[in-house]
Amino acid sequence: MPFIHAHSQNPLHSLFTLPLSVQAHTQLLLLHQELIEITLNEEPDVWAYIWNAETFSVNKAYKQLSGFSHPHPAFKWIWKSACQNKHKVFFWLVLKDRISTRELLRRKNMNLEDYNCVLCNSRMEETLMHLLLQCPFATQCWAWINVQVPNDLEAFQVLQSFRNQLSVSFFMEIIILMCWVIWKARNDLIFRQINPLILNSKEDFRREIGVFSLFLFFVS
Amino acid sequence: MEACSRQLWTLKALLQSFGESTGLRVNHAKSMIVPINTPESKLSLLANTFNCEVGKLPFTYLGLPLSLTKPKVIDFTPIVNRCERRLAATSTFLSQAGRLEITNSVLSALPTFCMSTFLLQQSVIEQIDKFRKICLWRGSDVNAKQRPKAAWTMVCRSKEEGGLGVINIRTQNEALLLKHLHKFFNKVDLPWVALIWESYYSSGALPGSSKKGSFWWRDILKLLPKFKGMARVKINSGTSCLLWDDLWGSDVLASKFPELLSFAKKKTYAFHPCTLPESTA
Repeated sequence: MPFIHAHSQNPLHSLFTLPLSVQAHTQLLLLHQELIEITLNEEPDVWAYIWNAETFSVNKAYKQLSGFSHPHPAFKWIWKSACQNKHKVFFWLVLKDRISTRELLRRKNMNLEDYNCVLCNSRMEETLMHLLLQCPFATQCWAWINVQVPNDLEAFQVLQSFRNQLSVSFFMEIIILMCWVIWKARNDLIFRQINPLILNSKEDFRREIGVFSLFLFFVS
Repeated sequence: MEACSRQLWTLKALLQSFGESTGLRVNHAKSMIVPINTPESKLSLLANTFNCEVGKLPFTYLGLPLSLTKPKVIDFTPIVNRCERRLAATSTFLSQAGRLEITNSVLSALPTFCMSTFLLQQSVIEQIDKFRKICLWRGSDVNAKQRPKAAWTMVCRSKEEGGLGVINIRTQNEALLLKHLHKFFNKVDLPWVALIWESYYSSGALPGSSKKGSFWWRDILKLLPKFKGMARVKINSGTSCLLWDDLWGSDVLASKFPELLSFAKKKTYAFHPCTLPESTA
């Protein structure tokens, strides 16, 4: 039965304190229009969800409750890449600027003798951008795989530029592993007193990418 | 059952004959008698009759604390302790990624069963979070001093949202509990759903303004606005839906016709006409 008929003995306007204002009256007519289209029956109501499903999903509800912030797609690229998990987590920390570079340690009020980059003699503070991109050592590493480090760009723009320059489907794996290799060269120098050599880093990179290409081979 | 030795004897006899005929005997030493409003003197007599221990509320039933009132923080210590024990079994030698996996798949999953029934107190969540943080950043050693590398709120976003995919326990708890509201509003054929509709909402009133019911149901009702925020009703009988506040058309009426609502005699109407007031015209 249509909704309006169902309570014809108490008409719609009996819900309201009369008289109505002109605006409210217009809205009342609109409401009447909406209600007249509804037919009531004996079935229970169906509560569906805004993700277009009648079934409830805890996962969807969780996502809905935590909200959406639409971050840079690079965060998706990380987890989609075929690198090892340790590389992925490392690169996540890189993108969030949470790698313990000397500049970060200074920000955390840690006392060091020297906050400068150890891979070059330019007396530059070891920031993440310097260490992985601007340092001559890093620039050489990137140049080896034919990637030019653009100047004065923000981190995500650099990433986009690298992606364009590499123009292969596994660009993210290359970027992640190269950053990992540079970071490793820096740590080797500081903690194990091994001199940073482009040659060694190239070898590291080859080995890491070798593991990864073996993986690609098995997947395809 | 009633605290009466005659009934207890009958029960014991029933269990006895069941045990005799099937060989599945009841271990009375593992059984427990839990009194509700029973005098002390009578209780010990009953316990002796049945030859079992006297327990008290709250006790663990099917892995959850069972009580007449909301479980207190202290009743959740088994869950918190389980997290701590798991932490000790976590190797210090795992990489950052390995520890992330352990946090995500083991420590975050431990309270799930409990969270799908109870709304955990903030302090319980904080204690579980403490162990998850230790696991993620410090390895198994609770006392080791190593600062977290990233803020917890940042870590707790999903991987697509730029976090590490560690679940936020509070949000997960709410998402799990919303399932009960889903069952309630869709009138799923379950005893508890029928019981709650019958005992609290038989007069046609709908959950919304008044908070009545057991501690459990009141906890669930706290999530009502969040549930309504993500639900849309397809009207059939109209018995579970509010005219003004629920989303059944293209928009919530209260925000679509605010002018008209200001003239309404009552601000919360159930959709079903039998709950509408008698005609005054």
